[in-house]
Formats: sequence, C-alpha cells, structure tokens
Amino acid sequence: MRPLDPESPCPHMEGFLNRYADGSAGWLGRWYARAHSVRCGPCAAFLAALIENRRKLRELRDEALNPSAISRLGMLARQIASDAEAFSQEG
Amino acid sequence: MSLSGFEGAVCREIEILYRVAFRLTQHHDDAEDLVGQTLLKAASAWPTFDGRHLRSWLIRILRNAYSNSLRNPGSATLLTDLPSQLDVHREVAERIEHAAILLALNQLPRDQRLAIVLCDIEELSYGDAAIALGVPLGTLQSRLFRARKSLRNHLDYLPDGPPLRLRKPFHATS
Repeated sequence: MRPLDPESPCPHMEGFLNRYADGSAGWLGRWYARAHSVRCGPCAAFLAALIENRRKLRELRDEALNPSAISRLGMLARQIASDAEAFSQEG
Repeated sequence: MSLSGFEGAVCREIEILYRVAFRLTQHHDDAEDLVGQTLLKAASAWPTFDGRHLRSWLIRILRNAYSNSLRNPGSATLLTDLPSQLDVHREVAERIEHAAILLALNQLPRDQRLAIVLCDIEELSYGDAAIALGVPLGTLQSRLFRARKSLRNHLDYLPDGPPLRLRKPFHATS
C-alpha cells in the first residue's frame, strides 16, 4: 500500500522502520523492515533518515552538560541527605 | 524523615536529569534550577518511592516541575524563550549540523520533544520513557514516531550531505 505522498514511507511500515532504526525491533521485524526497504525507495530513504538523525541526536547528548552545574547539584543532593539525617536524629 | 540510599541513587542520575532539563529549558541556569527543584521534590517523596524505575520516576518529577513552572510563570525563574539566534561559525560544519538539529528539535511540540530526548538522545527503553512521561506505551510510540517524522521534515534530509548547507560568503573577484 503506497502513501499519497511519494516521499513518505508506506503507512503500514512506519512502526517497523522506527523500531528497526532504534534497535527495539525483534529479529522478524528487523528482517521485514530490511526486506521491504530493499524494494521500496521511499521506505529506504525514510529508514536512512531515521538512522542518520538518531546518530546526530546522540551527538547532542554531551553538549548539554555543564560540569560545574553537575558538581553543584551533586553537592545539593548530599546536603539534602545530610540535612534529613540530622533532622531525623534530632527527632 | 529517612533518606537512606537517596544520595547514592540520585547522584548517578543527575547528569541525565540535567541534560533532559536543558533540552526543555534551553538554558543552563534554568536547567540547574529545574534539577534542583527535582531533587528537593524527590527527597520529600523518597519515603514513598517503591524503588522501581528510579530514572523514570525522577524524570517524571522533573517533567511535572517544568509543567508547573510553565503554568505558574511567577513561581519559578525558568526562562522558556528559545534562543533568538544561534551564534554559529560557518566554517564549523559539525556545529552547523548540531544547530540545525537543535532548531528542528526545539520546533517540536513539548511532548514530542520529550519523547525524542528520552528515547533517542538518552536511549531509554520505550517502557521506561512511557513511565517517565506517565503515558501508555502506544501513546509514547506514536508521539515518538510522529516526532521523528517531523524532525525529518524540518531537516529536509539530504542523503548525500549535511541537512543544512550555508552558502559560501560572497567574495568579490578582482
């Protein structure tokens, strides 16, 4: 079943392709997604884009870190725990 | 109140909480505030925590704190404006690519953005992400799949190159 938009993947394949791209598909789903994509250009392009975009998104992960903030938040967690400990001993 | 095990368990999750907070707020100071609020709320709820799915539990607290801050803007100092311009050096192709994907990510509705952040950036399983967002598995999957499709459309993916190409600066020939 082809979609109306020739650049879109086949509607019934979207789930298979997404699960293939993020590694959550079982072996049968992987096989089906691969076998379909070999003979369906829009699905192959969609799958390639999913995999590539996912790789780029993972590269963003470390950009979001701020080591000094992480360190301060670690100190905050310790402070919360020690305050609670002191409070429970007083009580 | 006893916080037995709180510090050790929570400290391991601070980095991921911070990254998720940063993707929501787009701002380092706000992300730090949001994670701080999350830690305080988690500490007060710790005695009732059942010990399962810690990461999802913490992300859920963080998400609720963020939603509350949007509903009551006066109650928190979170800044929610997207950066008006990204200061991107044209010669650094990697930065351009990251900027393009960040812009595309920021244009997604919040629920879809969170699905992408949890499943594709932080690589949580569908199950853990669904728990973190407090939605059924099917809802999480449909949000995620819709978000990925929108991202692709935003990026106007080009198979043979980066998704965004900036034109070379004009140089007059002598």
